[in-house]
Amino acid sequence: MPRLPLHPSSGTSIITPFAKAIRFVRYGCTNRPFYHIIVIDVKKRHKKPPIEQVGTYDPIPNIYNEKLVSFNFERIQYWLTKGAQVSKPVADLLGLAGFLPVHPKTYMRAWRNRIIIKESAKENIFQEQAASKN
Amino acid sequence: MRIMNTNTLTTGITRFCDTFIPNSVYTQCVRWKRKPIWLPPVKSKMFRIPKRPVISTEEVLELQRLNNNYRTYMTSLRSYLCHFEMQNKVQLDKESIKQAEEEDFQTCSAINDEWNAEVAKQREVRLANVREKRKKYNLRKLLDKEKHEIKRKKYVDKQIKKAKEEAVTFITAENVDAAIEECLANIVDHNRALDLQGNWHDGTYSPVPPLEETQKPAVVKN
Repeated sequence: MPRLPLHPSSGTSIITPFAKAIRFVRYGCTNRPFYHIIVIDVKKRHKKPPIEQVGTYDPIPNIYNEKLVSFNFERIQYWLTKGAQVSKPVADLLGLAGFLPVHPKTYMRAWRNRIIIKESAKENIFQEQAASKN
Repeated sequence: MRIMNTNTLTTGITRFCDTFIPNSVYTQCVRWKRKPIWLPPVKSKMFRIPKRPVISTEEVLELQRLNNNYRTYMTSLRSYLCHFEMQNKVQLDKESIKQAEEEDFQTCSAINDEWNAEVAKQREVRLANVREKRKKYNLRKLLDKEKHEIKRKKYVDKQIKKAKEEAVTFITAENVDAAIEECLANIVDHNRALDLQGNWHDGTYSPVPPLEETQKPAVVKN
């Protein structure tokens, strides 16, 4: 039997005077990741009771080839003003959503993908040339 | 008995400690558990050096630039948001709060009045309906009662007539002696039976004549 969390996933709203972080916590199961975006104390382990849930992220594309993500922007703004740290993956997503500036990681991923596409195209051209010569 | 082919790496999978000897004939461990943290790297991996990702200087510089920009943006955004939050904070001013409360009360009371008027209209209609219904009900009840009264009077009259007719045969204090005498004169013998042909059969035992002694009042002697 799976050990279920004994706290509401929407958050316990127990606010401590320590540093907060907005980060992912992986729910879902084996081979099926599903993330909650939560506000939690920085030093708390994952799947510990969060202060608040501010969104979800489903990294597996659905039938329309969409990765669904949801944010509670008002609460995120509130926690940002309270000085909450934002983890890199969440900042990346927030950058893509247009709430924060685009994260450098996004740019890096983009140009690397572009390079890969270029190289594959080049290889394809070479292969075609070789095929035509033969 | 011992667990076969075990060492520190495999005992974990058996869920027993090293010294525990289970009551089984033969147990063989087929799976390996994770390396405990206190064991050194495996001999075969001792001199393996993990490959470091190679990033060109251009990319590094670009990433540095982007990261610097990002950090600057973030700090400015954070400060802006804080400023925004401070501006949006409700300022505690007694007069303004009072005025706001009054305005709120005015709007609320206006809404309440509207509701009250609406409800009053509905109530009037409802009460008129109720009154009409009650009138009708009362009228019907009165008519029913009258009918019932008439019926009862008729029944009573009938009963009285019957009683008056019967009153002639009543035994009163005046004619009680005559009645007794008459009774004594004509003693009815009930000890007889009627058969299907209409023949009367008298009983074999004639009725016992009333003894004078038994009819005497008991005198208490003392």
